[in-house]
Amino acid sequence: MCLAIPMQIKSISGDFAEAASGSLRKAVNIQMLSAVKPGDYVMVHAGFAIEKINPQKAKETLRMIDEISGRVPQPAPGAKHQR
Amino acid sequence: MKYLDEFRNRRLALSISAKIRAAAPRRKINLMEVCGTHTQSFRRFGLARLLPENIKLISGPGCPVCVTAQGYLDAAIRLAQNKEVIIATFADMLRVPASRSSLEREKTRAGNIRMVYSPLDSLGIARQNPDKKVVFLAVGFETTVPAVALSVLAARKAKIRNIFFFSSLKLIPPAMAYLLQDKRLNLDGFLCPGHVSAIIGLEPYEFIPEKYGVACCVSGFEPLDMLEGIYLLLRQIACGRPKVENQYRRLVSRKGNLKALRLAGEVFCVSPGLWRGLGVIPQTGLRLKKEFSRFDAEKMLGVSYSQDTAGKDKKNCRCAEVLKGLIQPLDCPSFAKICTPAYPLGPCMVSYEGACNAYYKYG
Repeated sequence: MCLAIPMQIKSISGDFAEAASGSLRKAVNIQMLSAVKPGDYVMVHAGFAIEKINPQKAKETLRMIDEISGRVPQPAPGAKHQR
Repeated sequence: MKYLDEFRNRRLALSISAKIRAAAPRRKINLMEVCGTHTQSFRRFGLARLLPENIKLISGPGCPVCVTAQGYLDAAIRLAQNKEVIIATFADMLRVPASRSSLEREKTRAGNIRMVYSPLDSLGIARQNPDKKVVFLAVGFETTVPAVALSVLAARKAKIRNIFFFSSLKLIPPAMAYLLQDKRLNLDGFLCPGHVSAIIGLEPYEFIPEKYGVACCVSGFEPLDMLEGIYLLLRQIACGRPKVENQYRRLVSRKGNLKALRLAGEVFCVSPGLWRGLGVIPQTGLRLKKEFSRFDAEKMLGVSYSQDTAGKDKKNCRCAEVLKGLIQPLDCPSFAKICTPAYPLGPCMVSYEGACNAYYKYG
């Protein structure tokens, strides 16, 4: 039961936020998160935001996928490579 | 970035597939995923066709509905037959066959079973029906545990007297240890569940490479996530250096969601867990702590289930072997013949996250 969808926080009211994914709008409980603000993306499961999505790390993942696929050259051996 | 389409790029998927073929050892490699959403994604996006023949991604017991003991369902049905009770449940549970009936059939008869999207919805049902006892069927893994914990805390704060929680919540890492004892599976690596890991972090898996020499990689659910996760596993296996890697870095941190873990620990304590098809696995169940006893359906409503009332799978149902990863759905003689989503013999064909359901829908 890992089913969850990424949604963007539109507004916050106490323990709940209005979150959006496309035309879908839902009230989502944000009590599992310490700091969340409008504009943040969160992963929503069973009406709860279980974690914030880190946009920088998402970009890094896509860059690594590009490297693995060969679209972008991989760093030379010994170069610092963050995982 | 919307965090979906970017991770579904077909050209990149084909490129990674080529890299997997180049990096993979030549011998037979058995990888296992233990998450129903991985099962669905793998079949839905046709990822099996992108792997070489010698690499298998086996579906393990990662569908929480599928591994719910039949005895638990029987107990829930007995509760549902009480006119003073309203059952609140996730939709997946409705059509799972129990020993003699199903929640869906009971819903048709008595009408006192409600589908909910969130455990919090059951609090609303309790408020609207003060003369009824509302029982939420708490089924799920670590992804769902903090959500149920918060719902229990909300019920206490709001002083709702007629809400109860019937726990079949389970923990995944000790079940992975159980699977590793079975040499028939001959596992080389685990693709670890992404959203469970968002809650628990990476540390609970560290015993797997350390004690068993088996590779681990936490992976997201989009096609590129799973393919990168499999590539990283194969790289570990080829180098002979098993460890816990994290492909799902945009969501999963090493320590997990500490606030969610603290909330879960406030409400639940660990107990033996009864898994359909696997039996009792120590340290894999969750029970409400003593201070929340008044919300505990087992303590307050006299309902219970055990190994003795676990129930047997119907004749011709091989869900137990599918759940353990010993056979694939296609190996079951009932698959797509006498067992279909419309007329299921067992839970693996019913649940959205069941292996048989995924194979039936997507091939």
